[in-house]
Amino acid sequence: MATSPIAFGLSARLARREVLRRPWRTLLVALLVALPVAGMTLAAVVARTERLSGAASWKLTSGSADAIVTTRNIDNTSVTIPTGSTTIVGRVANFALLRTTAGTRSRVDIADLAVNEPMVANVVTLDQGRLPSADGEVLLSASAARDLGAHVGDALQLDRPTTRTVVVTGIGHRANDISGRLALVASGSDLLGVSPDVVDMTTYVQLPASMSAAEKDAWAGGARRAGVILSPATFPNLQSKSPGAAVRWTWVIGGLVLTVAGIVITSAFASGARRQLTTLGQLAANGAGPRVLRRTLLLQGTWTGIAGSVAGLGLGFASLAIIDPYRGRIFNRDPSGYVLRPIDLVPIIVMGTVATTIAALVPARTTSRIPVLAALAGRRPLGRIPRGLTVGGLVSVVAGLGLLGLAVLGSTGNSTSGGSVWTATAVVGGIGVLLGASAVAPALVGVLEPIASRLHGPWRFAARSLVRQRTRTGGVVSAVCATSALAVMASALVLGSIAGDDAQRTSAATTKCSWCRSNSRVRPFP
Amino acid sequence: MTPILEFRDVVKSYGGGALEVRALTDVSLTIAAGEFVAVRGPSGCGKSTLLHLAGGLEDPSAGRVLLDGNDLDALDATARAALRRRDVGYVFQRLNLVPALTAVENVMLPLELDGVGGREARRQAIDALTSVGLDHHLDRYPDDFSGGQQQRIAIARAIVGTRRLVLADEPTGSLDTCTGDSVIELLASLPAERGTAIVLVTHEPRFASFADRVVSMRDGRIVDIAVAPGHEDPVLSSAR
Repeated sequence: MATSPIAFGLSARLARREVLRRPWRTLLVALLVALPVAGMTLAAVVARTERLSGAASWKLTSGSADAIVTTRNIDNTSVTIPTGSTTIVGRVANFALLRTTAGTRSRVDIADLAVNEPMVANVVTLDQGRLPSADGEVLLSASAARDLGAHVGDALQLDRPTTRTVVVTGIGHRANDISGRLALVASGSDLLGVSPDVVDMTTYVQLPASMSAAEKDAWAGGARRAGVILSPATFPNLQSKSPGAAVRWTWVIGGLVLTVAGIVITSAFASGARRQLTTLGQLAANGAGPRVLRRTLLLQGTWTGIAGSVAGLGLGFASLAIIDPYRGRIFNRDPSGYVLRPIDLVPIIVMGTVATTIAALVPARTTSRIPVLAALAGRRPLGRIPRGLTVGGLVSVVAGLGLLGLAVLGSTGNSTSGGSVWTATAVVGGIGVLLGASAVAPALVGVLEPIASRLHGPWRFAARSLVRQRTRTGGVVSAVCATSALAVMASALVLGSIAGDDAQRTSAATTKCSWCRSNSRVRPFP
Repeated sequence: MTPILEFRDVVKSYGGGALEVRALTDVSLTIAAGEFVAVRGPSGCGKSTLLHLAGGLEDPSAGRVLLDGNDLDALDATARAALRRRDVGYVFQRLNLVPALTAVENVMLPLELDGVGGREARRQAIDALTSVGLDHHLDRYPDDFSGGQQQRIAIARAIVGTRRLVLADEPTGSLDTCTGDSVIELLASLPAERGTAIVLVTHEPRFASFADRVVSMRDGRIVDIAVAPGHEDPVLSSAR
């Protein structure tokens, strides 16, 4: 009978009312759930938005072209552009040095793409002034203009790449790289005198509308083998990069944070369950079995988890709204709408709710076993601490400390890679220490018992009180450990991230030239 | 009359060895359906322990407790809970009601736990509340009721459904004299009106006049059973 839907409904109703009757505990737990859920929501949306789909990314870099052919990666002998195709040719010199006679300088990509052509109309965005239309005119990106101290209408006296005077007709930016450094000259004009050796040529191809999909696919097969880059919008079967992995990582990290928060939540529920002992005793005296009592406490976790998850989603969306004006700066490209996939949010809500339910499980199990009379009197008899719990806790602490030590040694070594591995090791080690400390906490508190008898006055009273309320004291000790562990984990993640950035900078400094070469393959324009 | 509750040579002790405390010693008592039995005695004589054993809230150290023919010792926690839902109602001195449930929901509690549908449970609960003199403000929470009204709600919950035994542990202890009297009168009317057996633990000698039998206890033993005139029954005179 305890499993009848009616009895379940009663448990759910009681749990919901108890959650509402204890607003401060509910608020604390909901907040502990809401913060990681908000973080995961924010991260999932940002990851989806930041990593555009292949088609959206192509639109920003190559407009409505169906394919691009670069002189660098093409086997010219084996590619034939279909008759009737529209083509635009653009040239680019990557990472060229612009220097004025006044001594200001900037490393820019100098390009001559005709960005007023419909095919590539949205590849460069004009912020001020106009596009260059003649020799001696240039559009600078905001960052390049800042480097050179230039404004619209200024005449720049250059001594590099060659000595000449150019007029800045406008300020703009690449649609997919707002902060990138760019100097756009009129189509067909010389690239401010850079050596032809460093110039790449890119042909943007729009296949004729008369071509059928099958014909396009047939051409694409050969063209791809020859090195032609094909549009994922035209050839959707070629979609490759998926942001799913990044979203899944946000779930993993959020799950770890929820695990740590879960220990604090367990303490909150343990205290709450103690305060409900009389109610539980009443339920038992009126025929509620241990299962119903357990479920009533467990569902309080579920209700609070749902409330926390919903609040977390709201908080996440509010954060997205707050950062909305800075979206272009954050994603470093022309703002488009946030990419929000409801399916990404489902695991987040489920994780928040399940974490809280699991956190409520331990107090629910122990409280439902309290004898009815003890519960009615509001007493919780002190039981024996299972030896396995303490031993397991100690093992977990030692193993966790070992992993933390390993992570410290590994991350301070000479290796320039593997930062994320050491971070993960530190996080797992930290959680091991934390769970172990939580398991050992009741035994540690129990040590106070013999000490208490040797103390006097208020010291004895305080020590006895702590021991008599071992569950609560253990919970508080665990909660303190958990908050410290969260701080340690956050530090580990930040340090890991800094180490990763340092390694990347070192690597970039030694391979600067090859980067700019290879980068031109990744970003076909300009 | 058929016995609803039987104690057979029941012993209850707490602790062990030198620290052992005997709460009940060789108690035998039979209570018939529809009978009102008052249990009296000084503090610590084992009155409440008797009641706890009757509802399966505690196990006897020796002897047997039979509730409607079922040996409670042979039942697990879930089966005992089921027996309490269906056959036994408790009324305590205080903290009787679940604060998160309204008056009518408190009375519906044992029925819902037993799987009775919401509408039917509510109907039965309102009937029970009406029979104890409460018929309005039933959807308010316990805090909104006076002490006497709360005890009435507790009695309604104890008799709702098909329950045939009410165990009342000093239900008037926290009430004023007038309210206490009305609560006892209400309890005393139940055997005649519903055929419910009542076991009332009390300190108050004046409540004994309502009972069919008065069981006196001292130091964990039954020392006297007084039968009210007209209530003699040879089957029930086996108490020691």
